Amino acid sequence: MPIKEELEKLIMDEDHLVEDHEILAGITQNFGFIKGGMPECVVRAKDTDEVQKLIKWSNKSKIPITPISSGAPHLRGGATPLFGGVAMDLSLMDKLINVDRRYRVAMVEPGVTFYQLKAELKKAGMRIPAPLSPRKNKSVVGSVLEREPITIPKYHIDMSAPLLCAEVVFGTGDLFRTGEASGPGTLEEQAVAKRKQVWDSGPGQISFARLLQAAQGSLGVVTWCTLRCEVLPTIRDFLFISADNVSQLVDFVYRMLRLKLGDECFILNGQNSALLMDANLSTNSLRQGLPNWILVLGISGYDYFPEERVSYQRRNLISIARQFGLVPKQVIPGGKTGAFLKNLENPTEPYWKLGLKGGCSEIFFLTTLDKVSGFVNLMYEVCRKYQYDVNDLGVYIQPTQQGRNCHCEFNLYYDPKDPKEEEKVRRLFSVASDAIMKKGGFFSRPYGDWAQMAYNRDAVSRQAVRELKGIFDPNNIMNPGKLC
Amino acid sequence: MSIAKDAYKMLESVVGPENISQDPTMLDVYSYHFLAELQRKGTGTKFVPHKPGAVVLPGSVEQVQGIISVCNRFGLKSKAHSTSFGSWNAHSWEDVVIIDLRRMDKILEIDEKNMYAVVEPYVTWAQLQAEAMKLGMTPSLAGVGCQTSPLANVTCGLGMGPFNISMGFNERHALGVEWALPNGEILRMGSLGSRAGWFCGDGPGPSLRGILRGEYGNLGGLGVVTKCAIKLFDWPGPSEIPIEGMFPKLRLSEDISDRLKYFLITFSDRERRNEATRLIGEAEIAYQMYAWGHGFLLAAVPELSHLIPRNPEDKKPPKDPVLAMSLASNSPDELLYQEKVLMKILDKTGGKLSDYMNILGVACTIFRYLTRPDYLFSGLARFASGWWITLFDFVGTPDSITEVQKSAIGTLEKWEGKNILLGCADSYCQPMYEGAHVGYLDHSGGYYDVCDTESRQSYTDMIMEINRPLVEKNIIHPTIASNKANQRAGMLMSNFHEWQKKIKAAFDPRSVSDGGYYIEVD
Amino acid sequence: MALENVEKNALRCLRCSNCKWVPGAHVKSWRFAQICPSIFKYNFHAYSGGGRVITAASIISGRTELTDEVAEIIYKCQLCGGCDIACRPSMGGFVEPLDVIRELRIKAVGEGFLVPEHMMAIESLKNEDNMVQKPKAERGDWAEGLDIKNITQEKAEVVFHAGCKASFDRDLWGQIRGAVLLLKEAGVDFGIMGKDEVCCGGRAYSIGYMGEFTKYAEHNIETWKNAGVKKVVTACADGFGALRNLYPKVIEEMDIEVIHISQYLDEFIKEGKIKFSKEVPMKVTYHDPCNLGRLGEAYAKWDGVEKKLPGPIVEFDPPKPERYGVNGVYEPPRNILKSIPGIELVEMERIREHSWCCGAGGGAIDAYPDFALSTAKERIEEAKSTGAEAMATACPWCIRNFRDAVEKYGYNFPVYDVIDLALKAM
Repeated sequence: MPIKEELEKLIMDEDHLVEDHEILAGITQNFGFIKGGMPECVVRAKDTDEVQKLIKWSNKSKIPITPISSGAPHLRGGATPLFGGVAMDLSLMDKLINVDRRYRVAMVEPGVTFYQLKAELKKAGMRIPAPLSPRKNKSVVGSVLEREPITIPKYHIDMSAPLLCAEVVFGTGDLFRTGEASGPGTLEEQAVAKRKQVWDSGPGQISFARLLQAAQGSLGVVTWCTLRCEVLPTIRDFLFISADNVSQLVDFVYRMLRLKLGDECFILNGQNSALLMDANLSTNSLRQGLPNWILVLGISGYDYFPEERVSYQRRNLISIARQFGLVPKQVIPGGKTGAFLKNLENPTEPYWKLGLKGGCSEIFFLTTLDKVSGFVNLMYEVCRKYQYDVNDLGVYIQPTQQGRNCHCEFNLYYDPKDPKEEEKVRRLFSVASDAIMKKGGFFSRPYGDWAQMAYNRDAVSRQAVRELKGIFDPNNIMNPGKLC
Repeated sequence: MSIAKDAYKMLESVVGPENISQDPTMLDVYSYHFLAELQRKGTGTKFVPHKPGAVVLPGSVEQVQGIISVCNRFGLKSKAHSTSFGSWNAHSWEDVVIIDLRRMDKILEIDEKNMYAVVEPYVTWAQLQAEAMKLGMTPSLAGVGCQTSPLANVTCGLGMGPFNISMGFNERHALGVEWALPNGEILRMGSLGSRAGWFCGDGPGPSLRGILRGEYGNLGGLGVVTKCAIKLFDWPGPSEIPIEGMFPKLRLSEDISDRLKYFLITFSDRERRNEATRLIGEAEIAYQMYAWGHGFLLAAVPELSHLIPRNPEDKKPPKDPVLAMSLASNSPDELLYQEKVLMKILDKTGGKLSDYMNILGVACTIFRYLTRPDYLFSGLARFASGWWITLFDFVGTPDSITEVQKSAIGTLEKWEGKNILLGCADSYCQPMYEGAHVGYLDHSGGYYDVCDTESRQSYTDMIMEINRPLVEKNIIHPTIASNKANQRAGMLMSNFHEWQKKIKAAFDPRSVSDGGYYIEVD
Repeated sequence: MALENVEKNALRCLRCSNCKWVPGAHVKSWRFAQICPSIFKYNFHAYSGGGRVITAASIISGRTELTDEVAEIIYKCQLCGGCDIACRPSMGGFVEPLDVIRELRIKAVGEGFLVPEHMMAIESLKNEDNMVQKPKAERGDWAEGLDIKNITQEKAEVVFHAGCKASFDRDLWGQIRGAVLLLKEAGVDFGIMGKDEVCCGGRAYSIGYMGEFTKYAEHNIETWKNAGVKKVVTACADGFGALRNLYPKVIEEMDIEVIHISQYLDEFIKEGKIKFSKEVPMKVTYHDPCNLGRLGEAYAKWDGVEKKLPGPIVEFDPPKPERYGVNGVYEPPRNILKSIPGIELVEMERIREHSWCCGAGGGAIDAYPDFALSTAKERIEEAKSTGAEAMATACPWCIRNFRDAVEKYGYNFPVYDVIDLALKAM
């Protein structure tokens, strides 16, 4: 029986089965140079029951499934199927199941975007620690499952943050709930006991939620998760520090993170700063007027004496910055501060990483702040070798785990419609990734070729991940070929 | 003591003759564990029923790997421990090879900038904190005692303590980890495996910290962790613990109130106290915190223990729930701000600064328990020689903690005088985690005389009586972290035990790690 | 007491490992955090204070029995009392590891598990009234030329007890000769027993020979009382501990005050009877001998019972004496050093109640010299880490063991008695 017929029996609404070529191509397309196999169709699952049915079907039919929660375009190719099969689109599962101010938790389905969630949380007096200006159709669940870094390091208490509990259908078709959500009792029964699925450990002596993260959907499909939210500030303020070299900022950042001062803390180079001011950036004039590097610091006041909090934090940050020879300012020199701040909170149109040339290949990895400067210089070197204009290169440094490591990201902007340019960037991407790994960059989220590179370097981890795959997806039907 | 001679010889060649023993008394000493006297099918003493086959003292991960290799070859089980405080360190079968990690006791590195220290299993919290304090830092100590192992606590144990309010639950504090797996491989987790350093324990891909531990660690049931990078945090206090004198007359030796302020606060009821923790957590001002039942305060602080009635006709002690906490900063205006906020919250919730802090020695004891917990728990033994927590494995929101406390108090009060001190039914220790998003309820007020069978039996009866209704009402989950308990609990909790068994089977195919406090496949 | 009398103690060990470590609040570094020399060297848990308590539990309950191997575990311990001090804040009077270990030794001797080197020391005690295997006749040679009253011939209210170690070790004569000179200088009317002095018996007790100990205790007290002695002063911390702490266990009414020479000297300095006129420019650290410090507290007899109260609470009736070591002799030797012009006193990390043992006690120096010396080495390392040029202490056993370790391990690090430095300043 053709796949379409089999699937139509499983799902209630035939409109939820899509074979439109453009949509299928959009799923395959990515800027991570991952060559995928176009799926035969897209199934838009609307609830956990359908997800489970589909996965069970996939086990029986041996036709692979690739779950997708965010809308196109997909930058890294994590959701690009390598071997065709069926793409499971979770965007219809877009319920904000619960937002609870008292327990600072939100329960969301995979189709909920940051745009949606932020708006609802704001009404409830909360915020979600989020990545840097995600695109409008970026799934929150997708983002936390990818272990995307967040812009407020003090809330990044763990690499898993802000993920708490999750409901997941494993690749076996089994339904499971992680952490406190696992039981005893149903969610309704737990609610009577004022339990709100806020504790992510376990159940038992396994942290199941951790296994799902950075798995690129290859172990199971999360059908909802709870997220740790924080109090919405009543007052917000920002400081900006410019520098010619990123190394000038590092020691100060270390100090303020150690003292847990400030909220947002990240570094952008001029290019990325410009793009966040004006996603439609078509000339170099804005970028040229900006400093080489900008450190962005957020300060917040909460419910109690917010002005005083902002005041002493500002004072302390300025004082400490001066000890390091740095001068914080309230505006970005030469830049459109208002637009920048607006775009930090709201998705840009077009997505700021794609506005310049239409394409963006990202190289990101983890390192420590004191090594960032070395990686930046390395990247410049490789760019020059491959005649990529370093002025076009975007750089984003995000301290993570409260300053114990940092996400270092290079954005290679290019025109995907220009095959020569694309090929140049593809080779640059490959060479730079290899050089970064050899220099000690840690590709903790190994998309595409990084997976082979990372696991070749760490064979024991590779074997361990394969064991996990064998447990949670023994028939290898969940996004096969990803990871190892 | 019947492991094969060849196996013994091989083990001896791995660790050296001075680091292995099969002496019966030596092995019996390794069969004695805290709380084993409460086991239903135990000996009635702290000696567990099973005799080990040998004890070995490895000095390196290679030697640990060698031991595991011998166990795989000869079908032997092994159980590793470091300081070994608790029955979960015990072996659960006959002829288990005990791996005592005492020789692996170094602090290998302290990276001040990136705020972590790399430690071996037998480093203690006190040692690690002492070295970190010299650099103005501290780890997040476990309340169980500063003589225990950070590596064991963070990777294989539980991990709650007074710093969790600002630093997070200790399970989050592992970065890179070196782990001798029971299948014979050495797994270097995270960035360590990619030869990038110790700074991250997650990846590449799915985080293998997920199989290292969950709510509890694997308690020796899945290989041996031999090194771990543990997070350090800023410590604004002096470079040494400012204590002088000797127990029981320890005193603070300097005024640290310009950087660290300690508070003991009472409330009229637990709802208000728990609400205060929630608000303090949201305000992000607390550095260290324990919420205590009044009974726990009186029991734990020797300077106050005279207030506990010795006879039913004695004056009953107060029952006000308390909060012990600190504010900390190197910045005077930050400290001022924090205190202002705290006072506002106390005003809102009716919290009052306790007069107990004016009693000589109390302030020092509170400081010690929040900063370097020494006799916070082990000191409870001085009442009857035996004690343990009565409700455990409960982590929840401040409100759900209140629910548990309300649900349990009636039963607890019935046991006053029998296995709970008079007037001290509300005797729990409740660290709050991570901005008080959640807290841990550890009812530490159950006592028994180790040498009295009836006392021990009634204690276990009390645990059942208190726990069962709470589990039935879905207020707490059943006991976990043992083979049998997991099999029972799993049926109420997404059948986690089945997945845990699969993980055990995959990573320990010959079952060489003693799964008594983890899980066994069959 | 028989071992069975400490059965409850043995079964109540918490297995918390506090006995291996300096009490937590006092730990200042990774390096100097441990308090038990035995497990520091031998690593197996049985070698800790708690481990020996569990050993006792195992033997008492018949699970295992005394063997030569077990005897070795029992005897590879200096009885320094570090485990005891570290245990008490948790367990109060429930465990008392030191008493349990002592009972184990008494049982071992009683059942014939004898350490050959200890047997030789006891033979020497029986034959020569000393445990250092020297001829009795030479005992009084150290006092030649000093013109001191002999209480076997004349009465005196104060007797200076020189002790076995210093009496027979020329290298240590300076300490006891210096002590009596200081007593003379201060105008104390005292005497010695010269060649008629006998061992205090403390070491016999520590290695399990209760009978010998009791014999010597009774002999000494009777002799001193007959001589009209009201106060015994010694320069040996070991002797001080035996006289103050162990004798009252077997002697109903001692009626003799026991003091250490450092306490006397401290008084003399305060009263102006001893004055220092010379500079002794030296950076020095002070080692607290176990038997002067934590084990130097006066003995307090306890004949009470356990009583159960609701809770349950198990209390001792009357309450057991609180023995946290705080009433040992800590300040007098330090006061002396601080009074000497030019001396800069720097402290080690493990001091006072949680001092690290010198290694000489408990029979270790006789039977396990490597163990004794490696223990001393650890202490010397700690002393050197302070930046001190030398170490001072107040016990000839400590000095002997430290000096032997200095020689064996090639340190350039003098070890003095407090008295040596005091004399330098006079």
